[in-house]
Amino acid sequence: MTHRNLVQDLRARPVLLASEDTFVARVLESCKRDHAIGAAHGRASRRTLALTLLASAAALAIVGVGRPRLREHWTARGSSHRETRGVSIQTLVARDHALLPIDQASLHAGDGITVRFVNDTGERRYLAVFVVDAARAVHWIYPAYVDEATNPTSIELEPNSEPRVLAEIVEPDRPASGPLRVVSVTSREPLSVKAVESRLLDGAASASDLFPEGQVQEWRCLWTSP
Amino acid sequence: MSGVLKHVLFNVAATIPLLRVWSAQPIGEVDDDALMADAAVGKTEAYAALVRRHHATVRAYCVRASGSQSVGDDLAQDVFLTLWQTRVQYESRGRFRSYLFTLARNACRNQIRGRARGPALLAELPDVPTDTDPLDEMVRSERRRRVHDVVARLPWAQRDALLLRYTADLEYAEIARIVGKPEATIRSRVFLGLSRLRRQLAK
Repeated sequence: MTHRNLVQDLRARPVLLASEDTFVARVLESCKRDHAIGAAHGRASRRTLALTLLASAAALAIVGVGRPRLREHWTARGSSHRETRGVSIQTLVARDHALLPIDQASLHAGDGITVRFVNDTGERRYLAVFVVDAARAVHWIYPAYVDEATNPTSIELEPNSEPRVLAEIVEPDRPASGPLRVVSVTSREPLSVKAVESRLLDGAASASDLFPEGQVQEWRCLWTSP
Repeated sequence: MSGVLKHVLFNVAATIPLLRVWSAQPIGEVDDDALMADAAVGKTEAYAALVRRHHATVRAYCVRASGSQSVGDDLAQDVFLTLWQTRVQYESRGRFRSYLFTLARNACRNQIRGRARGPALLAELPDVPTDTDPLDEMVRSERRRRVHDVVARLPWAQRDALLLRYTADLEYAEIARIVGKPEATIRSRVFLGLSRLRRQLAK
């Protein structure tokens, strides 16, 4: 079989059971039902529902390209949920249709990581999040770092007054089993992945020394998958 | 309506993207991100337009990935429901299709994980008939059935890459974003998938 025929066969559309009109009507009906249920439960429930479904639906895997390994004694300092300079960051585990606090949690393959934030500074801020595994390898959560040839920068946090969850839920790519540290760096200017890694490799006694221009937080958990 | 008011409304409509969508630009020409922005403020017409635009590809993907027309259609419906539920969180970065197929891929993956391992269901899937000679069509249909039957038995990574590349018709960069792997890895998976597919079909 020629390559062209094979690709044509792969592209061939299957027969669909319902017509376009029927399918669209069904989708809109289910959206309407969902809206009605959400309205009955009130605002908080609706937000929870949306976040829960988001957690199940938007998981992405990350790849660790050229993961640097950190010095033994490097440490970040912070608490699980701290509000400083008007930016509040909380990292969460997305598991089984729910978002759970990550601090002291036990994580395994299939768990995703996301961030809930409030930025009430009235200005843009920038966020970088990475995890450091038991082998001291760095795995990037935000920004996505999938190509060593690129140098993505920390993601924008638009000003907001209501807690908001980032749409992308990221699944770490096979971290080493054992203690896992999740670190966030919030800054006024974007930081590039390579700049962050370079500072991490340079080493320092604490994260505040590494990122004096930023706000650093750390959460500790456990990765249990082999 | 006074001339002044007409003038004000015209200028407002011309400068605010949301109003421009509805007042001047045919909905078929509005891009996905703008339709999502409209959907986020509750405009169901915008959402319906998005569903109409993408339903065929998403349904084809879900049908091929699940191996069943009925399951695939249900999964596609769930995908569009999830899209609706997350429309406010969606960040418009010109990556709508990546986002949509991330939802579709996860829905299908969860469905595949959740069902007991068994024979592929693809034998039940006829392809869209065309106006060609019935015998030719029968031969072609049988060949496609075999192709998709073999695809269903490929390792997940290769099958995933082939379905996203050819059934969902995504570019390699989009697939890389969805899968979270480098573009080179995706190209390699597609190449390996096609090679294995050819070998299996030649048997």
